[in-house]
Amino acid sequence: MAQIELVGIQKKWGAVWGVRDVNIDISDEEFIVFLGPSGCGKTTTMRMIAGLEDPSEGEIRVGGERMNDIDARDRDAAMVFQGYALYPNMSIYENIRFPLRMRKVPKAEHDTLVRRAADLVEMGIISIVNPQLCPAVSDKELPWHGRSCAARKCF
Amino acid sequence: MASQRRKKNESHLFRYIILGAWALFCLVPVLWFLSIGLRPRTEIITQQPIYWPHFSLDAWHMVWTDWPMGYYLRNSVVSIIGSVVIDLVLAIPAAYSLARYTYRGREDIGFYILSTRMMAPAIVAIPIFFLFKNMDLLDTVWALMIIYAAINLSLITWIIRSYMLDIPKELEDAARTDGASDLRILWEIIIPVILPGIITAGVIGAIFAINEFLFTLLIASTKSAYTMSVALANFTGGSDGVIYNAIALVAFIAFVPVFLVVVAIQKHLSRGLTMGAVKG
Amino acid sequence: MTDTSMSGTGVASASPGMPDRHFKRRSKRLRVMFPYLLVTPAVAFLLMITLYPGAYAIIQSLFYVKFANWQFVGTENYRDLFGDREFWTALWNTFVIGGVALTLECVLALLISFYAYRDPWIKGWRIIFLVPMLFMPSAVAFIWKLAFMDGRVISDLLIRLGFIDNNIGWTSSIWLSRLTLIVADVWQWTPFLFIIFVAALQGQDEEVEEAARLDGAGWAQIFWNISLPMMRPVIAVAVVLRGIDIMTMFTNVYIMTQGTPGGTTETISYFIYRIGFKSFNFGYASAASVVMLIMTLIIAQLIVKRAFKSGKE
Ligand SMILES: Nc1ncnc2c1ncn2[C@@H]1O[C@H](COP(=O)(O)OP(=O)(O)OP(=O)(O)O)[C@@H](O)[C@H]1O
Ligand SMILES: [Mg+2]
Repeated sequence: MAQIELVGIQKKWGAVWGVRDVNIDISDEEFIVFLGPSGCGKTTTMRMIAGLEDPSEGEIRVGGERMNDIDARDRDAAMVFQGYALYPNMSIYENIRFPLRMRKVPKAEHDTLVRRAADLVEMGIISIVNPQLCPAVSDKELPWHGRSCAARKCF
Repeated sequence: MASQRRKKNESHLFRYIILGAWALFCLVPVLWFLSIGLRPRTEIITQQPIYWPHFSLDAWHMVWTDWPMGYYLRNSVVSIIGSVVIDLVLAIPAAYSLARYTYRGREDIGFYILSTRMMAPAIVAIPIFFLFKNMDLLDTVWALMIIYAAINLSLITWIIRSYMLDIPKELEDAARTDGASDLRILWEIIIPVILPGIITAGVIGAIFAINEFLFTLLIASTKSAYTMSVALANFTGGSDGVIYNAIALVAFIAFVPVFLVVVAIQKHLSRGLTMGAVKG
Repeated sequence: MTDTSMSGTGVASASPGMPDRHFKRRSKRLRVMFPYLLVTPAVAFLLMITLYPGAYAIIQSLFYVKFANWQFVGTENYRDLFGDREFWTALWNTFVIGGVALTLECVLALLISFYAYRDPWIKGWRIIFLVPMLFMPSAVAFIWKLAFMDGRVISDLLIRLGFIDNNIGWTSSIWLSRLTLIVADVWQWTPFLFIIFVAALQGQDEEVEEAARLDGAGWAQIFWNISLPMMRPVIAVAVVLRGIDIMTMFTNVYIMTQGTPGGTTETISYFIYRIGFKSFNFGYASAASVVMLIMTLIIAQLIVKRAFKSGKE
């Protein structure tokens, strides 16, 4: 984890304001909640921290380093989406493993890490099931969408 | 009540008359043409049409022995598969760009690609003929491959684009925060998810390629490039006149695989045929 | 971390399992260029196959070309073309044959899809009705050439049914000859429109239909007042696509009539082919190509763009 600073963050699409002048200081290991009416810019702020959206004004710093022009994929941020955004072409196991593969974590560690993440979100069953037997995400009955999605972020 | 029910039955009857009549109109010429393929030559063009011919496999033997059918088949298959592969390689990145990024000129580029579908073959036939002549590609499957790829690229790009538009944007955002590059996202997530759309696009492209006639007629002049579609026209002329039974058989040889594949992708057909504009 | 199932979005910076490393800065230039890079190969390929031939045709149309010998003649080809009765006839034929065939196909496809889409056996009907479309067009042309002309089957059937007394010479009269082309096209391509219309009808909101039924609307009224307006964008796209193909009709003319009698069934595509590859008058044929190209561009801009915009939503 690291310290996150937002300095004078603004987001505008043409004439539409998404976020207007946000200044926050989140220290390391601090737990913070955004509350607000629908459309006030919560999602947009988080998308800017994750690097999915470029702020129109202001600066985002993580651990003191300026992040504005760093790609989402290099920021090493984890984000859980409103619609879960599980990859429908992969099993739960593969979904959780995906960030490890993308970040070039040595293959040998994958299994342990995936199981540990699954345990963290109390999806223990996954650690005793053979990965190949894991149900595909498209199985609609699965009550685990939220959890698997969270597990993906637990590294 | 009773009269109401009768009315309903009558309307059902009327419906089945219409549908049945159209089914006959669709199928009778086909069955009759099949009978042409399976009758001796002497019973095709006669004073009075023969409706109950003798059975004969003359045409079948002729197609495989007298005519280099193997070559025609090979040329069709090679040029069509080659063209679809070229198209997929070009179309998938292009469709991804059109579906997922906003940039200046995107609409115009998309429309340019679409508009090439409207180009009549006759308009470009002469220049393309000379282009291939200068490149020494006349009468080769390579020329056919290039031409089929060009004809179908717009279609395939637009179909794939339409399927890509259906993927929620969040999925890509998730992959991006997981550390995947744009190309990785395309390869590991987008392509597997829209695979049915890609297959549909490929199949429809292949059918258009099988059907292509004018360019093939100009490019091919011997068995080294004749495809089934144009070889048919080659069964005419000479002292024997049009050899209809051979034509009929070749038509059915080409029809069977097309029919099977299309039935398999039926669900996606309307979407594919409208280049993604209509969601089936 | 954050609550995942409710308001749902949470961000945190990682990570014990991850290797330590510095944040990579990627070039902004590359990021801006990236979408262009993705479309470039496709666009380049299409430009090669359209722009080059287009330019070539324009230049060639200014020359009198006899084999390798090009002689500059300015706009003479165009002046000849606009005074050429054969050219105007070809243009007229294309519109008449295409217009009649397209109208018939559209009406028939609407009619059949209206009766078929709520039939319990729609899957079966669909497969049967698809069949004509799946034959190669060159083969279909031969089916109808044999049925009308060489095999005289249609005349024979009409005689047996008592409609006529003698064989009809299908290529002897303008309209009969055009009719053979129209029948062949209608037979093969009505399914194309049918498949699309049925999909659109099946996709319509059943509740709207039921509400209308409760309001006392009959089937026909529902069709005219609800289904048809809803299908407008779909019909537009389908008709545009079919229209493009029909206006460039070549295969059937080449195989069935070769333009007989006296050029009255010659379409514009066949005209260009004949002037270019039978008379080897390439400059003149190119001039016709350019005229056709300009017409295509106008149609594309005016109609196609709009049809695809509205059909997309
Ligand atoms: N891509 C965009 N283009 C234009 N305006 C946008 C875009 N994304 C968001 N907005 C606008 O920015 C504002 C903030 O949106 P945001 O999604 O951040 O709200 P939110 O606080 O997450 O709301 P909710 O509680 O409903 O999720 C909204 O008014 C929205 O309409
Ligand atoms: Mg939100």
